[in-house]
Amino acid sequence: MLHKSYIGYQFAVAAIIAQIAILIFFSYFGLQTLRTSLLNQAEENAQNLTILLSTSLAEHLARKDYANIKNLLALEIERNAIAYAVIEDSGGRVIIESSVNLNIDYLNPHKSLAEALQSKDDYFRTIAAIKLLDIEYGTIYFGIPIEYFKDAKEGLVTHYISVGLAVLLVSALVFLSIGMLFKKRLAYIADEIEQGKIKIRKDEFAHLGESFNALVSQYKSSQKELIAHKEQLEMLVRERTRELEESLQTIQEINETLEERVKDETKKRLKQQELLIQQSKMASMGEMIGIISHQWKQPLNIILISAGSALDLAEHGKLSTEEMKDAYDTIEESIKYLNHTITDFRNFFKPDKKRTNFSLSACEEDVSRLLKHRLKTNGIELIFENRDIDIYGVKNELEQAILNVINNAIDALIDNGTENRWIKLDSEIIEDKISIKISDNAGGIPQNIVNDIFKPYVSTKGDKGTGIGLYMSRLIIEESFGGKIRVENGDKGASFIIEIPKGVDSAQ
Amino acid sequence: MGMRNKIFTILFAPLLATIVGFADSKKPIEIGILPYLDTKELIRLYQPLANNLKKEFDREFLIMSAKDYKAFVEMTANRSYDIIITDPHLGRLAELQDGYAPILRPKANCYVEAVVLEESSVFEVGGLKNKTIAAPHKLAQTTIIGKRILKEYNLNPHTDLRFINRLDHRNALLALSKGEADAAIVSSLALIHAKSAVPQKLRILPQTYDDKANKGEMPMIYMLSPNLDKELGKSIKISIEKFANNDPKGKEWIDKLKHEGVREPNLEELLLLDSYMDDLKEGLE
Repeated sequence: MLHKSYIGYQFAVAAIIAQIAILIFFSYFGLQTLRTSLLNQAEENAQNLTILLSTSLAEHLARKDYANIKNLLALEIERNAIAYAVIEDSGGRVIIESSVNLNIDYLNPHKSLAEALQSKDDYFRTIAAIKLLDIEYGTIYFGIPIEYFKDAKEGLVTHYISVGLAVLLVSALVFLSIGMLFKKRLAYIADEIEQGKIKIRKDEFAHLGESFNALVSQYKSSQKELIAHKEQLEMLVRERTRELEESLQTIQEINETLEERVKDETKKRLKQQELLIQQSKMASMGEMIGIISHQWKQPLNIILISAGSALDLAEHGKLSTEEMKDAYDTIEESIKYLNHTITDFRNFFKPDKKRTNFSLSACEEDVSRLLKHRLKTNGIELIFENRDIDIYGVKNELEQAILNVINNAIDALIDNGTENRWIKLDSEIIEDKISIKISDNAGGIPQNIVNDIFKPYVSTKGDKGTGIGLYMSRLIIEESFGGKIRVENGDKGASFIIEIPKGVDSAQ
Repeated sequence: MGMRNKIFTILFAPLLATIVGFADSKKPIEIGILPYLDTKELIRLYQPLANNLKKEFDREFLIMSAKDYKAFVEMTANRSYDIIITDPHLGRLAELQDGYAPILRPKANCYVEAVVLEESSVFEVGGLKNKTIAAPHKLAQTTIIGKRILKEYNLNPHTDLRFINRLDHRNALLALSKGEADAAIVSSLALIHAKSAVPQKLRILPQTYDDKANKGEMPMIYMLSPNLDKELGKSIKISIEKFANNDPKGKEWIDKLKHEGVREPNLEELLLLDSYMDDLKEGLE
């Protein structure tokens, strides 16, 4: 009877020992995992704090705003994120110390948080460069309190031990009860054997074994299924992550190059515009040189004749002072005229970009003076029906825009052989806009090109025109004056309407 | 002092002085820029100059600023910077009171502009009566000239309109953008760099450049601290001049600033700045 009872206890003790072994094994690895996770968390916190301090202090340091830096550090110390801080400027001079008698070896930072945790120090001594736009403005030495980490670690061990002991106690009771039941059953079987009632019920153990085996195999198959599901899910997650990373990278690449591309395109466009403007100026200059050579012919002849007559008289000894003075006056008058012509020409072409207030009539007078000879030679009357309006902007540019339109009208009048030729300039203020209308009686612009007339290289004059005059007028009006230019065909000819905002500097 | 100490001093004092001198010669040279824009923008604008000086002199040059104009003036007086780039009238004050030496100025002039949002109903400076106007710090040259211009249009800044001062040009424009002001007064050069901060389109109110108060001012002045070694200061001046006027990278930098190069300021220009001293003292009080 005694040995029957012994088997029951033996079973209970063996089960409890196995339980303790399992508990110790899992506690050890469980604790290790939790410790690593805690350490990782603490390291991440330390890194975040380093980045936060380094970036939030940089701008203040570049401004030498030490009072604000002190306030920021005091806040961090107050919320126990850091224990102390020392800031050096880029020359290595200590400029801020969080406490007056700092008795910490801050110049000797720990290599890692793990090293600090293994030491007896209360702080993780660390260091960070304070950078703004990648420029180093100083260094911060600071300490992160690690007491909480040590406390958490100890708490973890205590927690594990208490839970382990409780589990052990409960399982000891359970195993003891099972042992007792087992002992009772064995005692019953032993009694039956003693009484000669031997009934070996193989089926009971076999059935138990089979059920257990079935259970194990079911469990294994479920586990396999679970692992397969898990792997499939992980694969899907990996795939999605990779796709996301690729998309992010593509977006980043696009973002990185976008600004460059916009700049390049803008540069190209500006270059093209400059080229067109240059071409247009050269074309205008060609026309102007033609006009000047016409305008200079007469005064040059007068100078030649006056000088020749004076020389003739002098050679014959008949040159009186009065005659010489007459010749001089005539020559001086002609030279003044030449000078005036060339000044107009120079004013028109000088690269003056100064914005001023100027009157529209002054601008139109300049244009009329420049075209005077061409208008006269071709019998064209230039009519002004203007109000004197003040405009703010670059005078030369508006002159050029108007000149291009009038030149276009003159060409059309000549080509079409119009009789009683006229070009009319009309201006008025409509609400907050200044409207300048330039119309002619040249018959209008052909319908097939009227919509494209302000595009580059579109000309009504075939090979004779450059096709950039009106395009340039549009550029000037839109970009320099923030206005608009359009064309309308009327009964007698075309009307170009320039509209610019009143008092606007469109340089924005 | 014992004999041993004396011998120690005689032997090691020159060595110590050399070490200290060497350490000082490697200390970064600080270029203090008046906070007329925010610190990051100033660093972006002036870093090419610091990079070039670093290359030329093989030592660190740092772009520094201050939290506001007043702090900058105080730090200038404390000789906190080795070189300053500041408003000319503040430079003149630093010259007269603290012995700073003016070395260079941008070749370009700047103008004071009154700016409104494009959709504003104000079309001329005279139309600003009874409106709120945002301007940079009260010590800024732009603010002082701005007030003079308004007076020329018969607008008294104290009685005919409400004048609000902001930290810098960018913040003055932001006040306009947020609807805190009807117009902003800013310098034409600062406007180029600060207008990107404002999402709306801006419009400059027309005024003639013949105005007595707005005839075109020296935009900035470069000055050397009396603490900076004279010979080093001379070399720095030459280097800046060479970089800004002749070096392709320097020209790129100057183009970005719209300063058209640098040159020495003449005495007449410096004397003209004395007219600001009364306004300046009033602002500093």
